[in-house]
Amino acid sequence: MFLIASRNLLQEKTRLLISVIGVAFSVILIVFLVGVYQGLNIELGKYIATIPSDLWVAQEGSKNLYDSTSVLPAAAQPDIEAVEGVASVKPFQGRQAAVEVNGKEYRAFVVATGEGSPAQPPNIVEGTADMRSGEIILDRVVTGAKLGQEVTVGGKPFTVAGITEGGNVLIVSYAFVMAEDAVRLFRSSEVVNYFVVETEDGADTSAVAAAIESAVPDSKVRGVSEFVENSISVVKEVFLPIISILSLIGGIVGMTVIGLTIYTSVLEKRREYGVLKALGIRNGQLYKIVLQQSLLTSVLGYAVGGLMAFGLMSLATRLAPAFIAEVRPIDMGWLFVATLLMGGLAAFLPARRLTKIDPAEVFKS
Amino acid sequence: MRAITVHNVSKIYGKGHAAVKAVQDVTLAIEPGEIVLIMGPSGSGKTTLLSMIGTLLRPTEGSIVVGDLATRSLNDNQLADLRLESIGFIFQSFNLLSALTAKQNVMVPLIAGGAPKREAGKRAETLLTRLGLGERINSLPADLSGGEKQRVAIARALINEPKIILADEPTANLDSETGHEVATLLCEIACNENRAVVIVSHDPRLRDVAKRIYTIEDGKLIKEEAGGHNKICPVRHT
Repeated sequence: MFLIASRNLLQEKTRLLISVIGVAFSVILIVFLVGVYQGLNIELGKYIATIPSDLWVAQEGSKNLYDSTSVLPAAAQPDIEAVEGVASVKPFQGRQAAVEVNGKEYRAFVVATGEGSPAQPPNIVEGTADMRSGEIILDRVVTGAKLGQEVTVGGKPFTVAGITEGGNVLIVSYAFVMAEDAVRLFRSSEVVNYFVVETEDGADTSAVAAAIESAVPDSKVRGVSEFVENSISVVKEVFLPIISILSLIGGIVGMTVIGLTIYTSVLEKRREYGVLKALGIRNGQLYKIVLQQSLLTSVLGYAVGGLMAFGLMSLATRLAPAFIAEVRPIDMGWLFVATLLMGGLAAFLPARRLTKIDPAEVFKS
Repeated sequence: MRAITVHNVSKIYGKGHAAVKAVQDVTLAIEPGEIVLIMGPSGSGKTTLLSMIGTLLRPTEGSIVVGDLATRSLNDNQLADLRLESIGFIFQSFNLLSALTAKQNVMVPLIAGGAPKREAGKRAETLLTRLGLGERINSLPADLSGGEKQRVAIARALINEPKIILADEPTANLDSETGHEVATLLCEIACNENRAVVIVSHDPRLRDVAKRIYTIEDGKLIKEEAGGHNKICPVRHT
């Protein structure tokens, strides 16, 4: 029966093209949404993971880097250093702030760098990482920022000393200033945001974490992987519901396009389906023809949509560096399964229509 | 064993005052190798009777037995299987599948019955060649003449080697020469291959093809007579 299904599809090339384009657009939409989601997931945790650390000490109640501010007394550093199993402790200063470039404001996560700070700018593509007080390093997605240009952060002037690549994860763009400038900027001479702790080889990190929490009142100590995971959870909590709904809408649109075109085809060919019934083809075999048509359309739409999505993503990344997307093979795998499911569901109504075709109608000329 | 036994069959459409008796109390029997022509004016019930014999319609009353199988107790799938194995259909408007070539159209019943595609293709080619369409096997129906289309339809009806062929106005859309060819072909199918052929038609030329002729009016068989089969049948009858 595959013969009939494939021939029916190829007979109406315009209709096939419309269905394939419909499915392809659904696939493109879903690939982009999933790609952006995965891109954020991966990139958001990537920078934190580059900071050498085993434990992150935060103010109790602060779960991650982005959606809650942690304030700890700078004086707690010796207490942490004194805990058995601790190899090194470095203060981490970083907060969200508005960076104004050419009169336009960007949200940035300003991180203190320099001697004694665990944070270093990622991948410098212009200028230098070796900056001085009063200078700033911005990501290249901050449009218009050029080396030597003056920008303001929190109303204070800074000169651009370097441009990074990969320091932007859509919801936050990293900017780096010297530690003494960060203290002035945040008025935080006596406080830090986090302590980044490296433990000695063989140390029991859970025991070290518990000891630090005892030594520093109102603190919460997390392993680096938990801290990264918490930071990524912002994406899950904020974006996942939106992405899920939009993906579902994409799937419904694709399903509707296939369903309508196959339904129209069944109506147009009702006499031929009646002939098949008269010849002795069972209803189940007719459903199979419709299902095969629907699945073939879905697979073609998936292939076209997948290729177009990758092409468009590559173009988008070149045209808009702020665009981040990461599509894993497993995502394409489940999207393929979802597309087949979409095709299968789309065949339901046309297949039901087949049952109403009376084979005796074939005798009417 | 009889090919078809129709016993006291009636078909009523609608209910109450709106009820229409399309076929009333028809009884007939058709033997293997026999060609029966059912004639009658439009609306007389001949196509309804053919649809019931072909198990496409269920009778309101009475019974139809195909071979030794009573069709009343069969479900839709069993009826479909019976049609696929035992009944070949030839239609007035050919009813070929427009997206398939001549060969593919003929292959359809075989593939539906589970035959491998390659084997189905070979058998379809052989049969089409036998019917004089060897050069047209890869043509789409739109590229075939009326006579060619009808021969493809006949090949499709024969491919599963059914015991019964049901033909609805098989010559209506054909010129007289092609109509004669098709009529002769139906003779050969019945006499050479011992198949029962039931033809429903207005075409008086087919009187000379049939062994028996039934006339139906207002749903009732009103006349049974002998046809002129022996006058034109190319098969020598002893």
